[in-house]
Amino acid sequence: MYQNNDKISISQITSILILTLVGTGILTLPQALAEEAATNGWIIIIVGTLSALLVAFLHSYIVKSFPGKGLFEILEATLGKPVAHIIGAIFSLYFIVINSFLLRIFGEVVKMFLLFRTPIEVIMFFMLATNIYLVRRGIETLARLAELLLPLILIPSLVLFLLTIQGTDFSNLLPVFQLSVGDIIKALPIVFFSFLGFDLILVFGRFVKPEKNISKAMAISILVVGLLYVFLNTITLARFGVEQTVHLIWPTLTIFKTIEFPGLFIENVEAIVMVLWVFIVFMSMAPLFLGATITLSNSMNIREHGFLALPLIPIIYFISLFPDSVTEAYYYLDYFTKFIATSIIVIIPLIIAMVIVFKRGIRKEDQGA
Amino acid sequence: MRNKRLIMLVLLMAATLLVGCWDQVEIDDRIFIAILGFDIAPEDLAENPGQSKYQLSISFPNQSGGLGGEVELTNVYLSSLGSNMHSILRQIGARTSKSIYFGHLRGLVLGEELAKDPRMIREILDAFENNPLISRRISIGIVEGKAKDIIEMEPQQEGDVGQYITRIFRKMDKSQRAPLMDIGEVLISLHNNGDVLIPRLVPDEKEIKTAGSAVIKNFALVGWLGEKETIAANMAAGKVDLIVIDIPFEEMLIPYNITDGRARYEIFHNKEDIIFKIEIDVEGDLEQMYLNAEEDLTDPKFINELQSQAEKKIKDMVEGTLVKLQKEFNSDALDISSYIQKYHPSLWKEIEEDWDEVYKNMNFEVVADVKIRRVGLSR
Repeated sequence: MYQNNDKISISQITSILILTLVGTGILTLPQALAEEAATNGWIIIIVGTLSALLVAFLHSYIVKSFPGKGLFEILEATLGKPVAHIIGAIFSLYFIVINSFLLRIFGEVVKMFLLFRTPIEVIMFFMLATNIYLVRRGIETLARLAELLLPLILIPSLVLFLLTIQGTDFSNLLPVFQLSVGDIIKALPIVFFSFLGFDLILVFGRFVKPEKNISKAMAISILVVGLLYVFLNTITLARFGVEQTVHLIWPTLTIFKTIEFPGLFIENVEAIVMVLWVFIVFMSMAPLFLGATITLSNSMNIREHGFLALPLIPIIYFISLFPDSVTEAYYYLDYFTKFIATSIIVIIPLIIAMVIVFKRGIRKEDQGA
Repeated sequence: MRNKRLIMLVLLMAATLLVGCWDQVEIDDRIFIAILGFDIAPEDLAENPGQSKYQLSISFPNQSGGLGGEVELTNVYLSSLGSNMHSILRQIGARTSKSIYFGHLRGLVLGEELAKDPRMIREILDAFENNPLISRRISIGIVEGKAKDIIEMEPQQEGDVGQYITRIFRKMDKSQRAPLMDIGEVLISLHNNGDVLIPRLVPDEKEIKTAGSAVIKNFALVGWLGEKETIAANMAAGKVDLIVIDIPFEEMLIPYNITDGRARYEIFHNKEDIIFKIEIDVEGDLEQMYLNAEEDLTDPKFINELQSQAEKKIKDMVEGTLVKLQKEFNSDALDISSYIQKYHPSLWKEIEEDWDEVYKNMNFEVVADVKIRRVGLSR
């Protein structure tokens, strides 16, 4: 059915998940949190991480209940065939739309900082084309690349952020605990959105060996990303303070403009930042892309997912060019994540899990009788 | 046959990679602007007074000669009028043979008249904050007079004006007679409460001096602080490094070189009064006395006396400056509001509404603690 033997290890799936979670949310997170929670963003990140963990355990429970089965087969076994086709299609559409937003924001950022006169269509097309290449090779190639790129992305990014520490004022994080429960709940979707992508485990779970460690992989990747977000948020606030952070569209990129060393030789690090940015977005897009093709091919009864990769290009391309401006793109993205994405990754898995528990209950009763 | 076609196809596709790059600019086709100056457009020059608000001036070194001969550098000055930074740059761009590049911009100077208009300051600073190329570490200064005069100066110490001003800015932290601010810090402070101190630049025939600071209140220039007052303001902000102050002793002024220092804040409040207390701890060396001094520098009693004289001096300086900022300009340039927000959030909630009034009626208490660590070689 697939090339290679399609088995990936726990450390590989962890790398894939970490890289998928760190998407474009990283750019806007400190701004959104400063606006909603002023200096207490880190509390919301911690609460958000815990709630994401909770949902992630729900997902891994589902995957572990059906060892060796993919998303479509799980849906089939729990909700029946016709519903499975529909929900499978919804899931792949969801992956496609997230991917489109990622692609659009990627293009906008690159155009803003690096290629001022290159048409955004060209930037986006080459990103997609590279993705196709990886997606057609399947999960194993993706897993190996993720394992390879994770340190290559993480270490330079951390070094760059540490360089910005010069001139930070940690008193900007005061006052603490000026937050009501209502505020936390109101701001929670912002953080939760920054963790979108861990639902890929429903698709990739079948490839992971041994599957009993899946929850561990989920926990590690979400905690790592949560920690990273706390770190970024802290540094950004310490550097800029609440008021300034609120007035920046991409504070995590603006912070690099504060790097300066005597002798002028490390400055204008935009080029390096953009290199990392390309990697980050690429490794966020490719897994989602693969998830979309695998789910779609299953629900359309196509045996080889690779054939579907190419036809998806124009779809993703046009969806990502649909918003007229960055502003509009963020506006749609906000709605999409708040309502559609949350319901897809929370409500549908909840229903599946309930069916599993229910069926088990019946089985036990049968045995008992 | 098939193979040949395939090879042709691959070659053709590879050829598309050779078409080049949309964003390509050769490095010698670029002008690297080091410094920008903004003024209000003079009325007699403006073609359509409604639209031309600003006069933007740039200068850059121009290379002539070359090819084996002596390379000669001459400064080129350009200035133009327009409604905002970007449209003016387009106009200037139409007059230059190369493309203007801001990635290495080092400084921004604003004219005095322009700085009095809050709208204009906000427009210009936003153009800087919004630009993905311009670093947040560039220096900013307000010129006593016109920014154009500084940009078009022929400095005697250095060939290139841009570089000269840049170096003056960089050296600022050695003299401390101007506040230590880059544009990033100014922007943060302005976002906080609209009040800040910006270095003052005083142009001379062939020199520029960084001396004192411009007091900004609600995004507009409301007055100046002198050099001594700026030192005091720096001390109150805890930015103390290599300042010399004179300790009055009998009929002499003894130079005391502060090498290190910090400031701590405290706040006391009851229903009516708010007292803002600043404790300034400094340490440093005595630079000189006079020959055959009658007083003994190795006598702790005498050192103590000098220390208390210095404490009194610092207390007076800082208190005077704080009261001037408070009563004369009503500008919270030292970000006292941010301090209250951070450390006394409940008090801040009470006074947030009428902060302006509260600040105006606030009392200050300055306590200085001076340590004379070294006295030099002679006694």
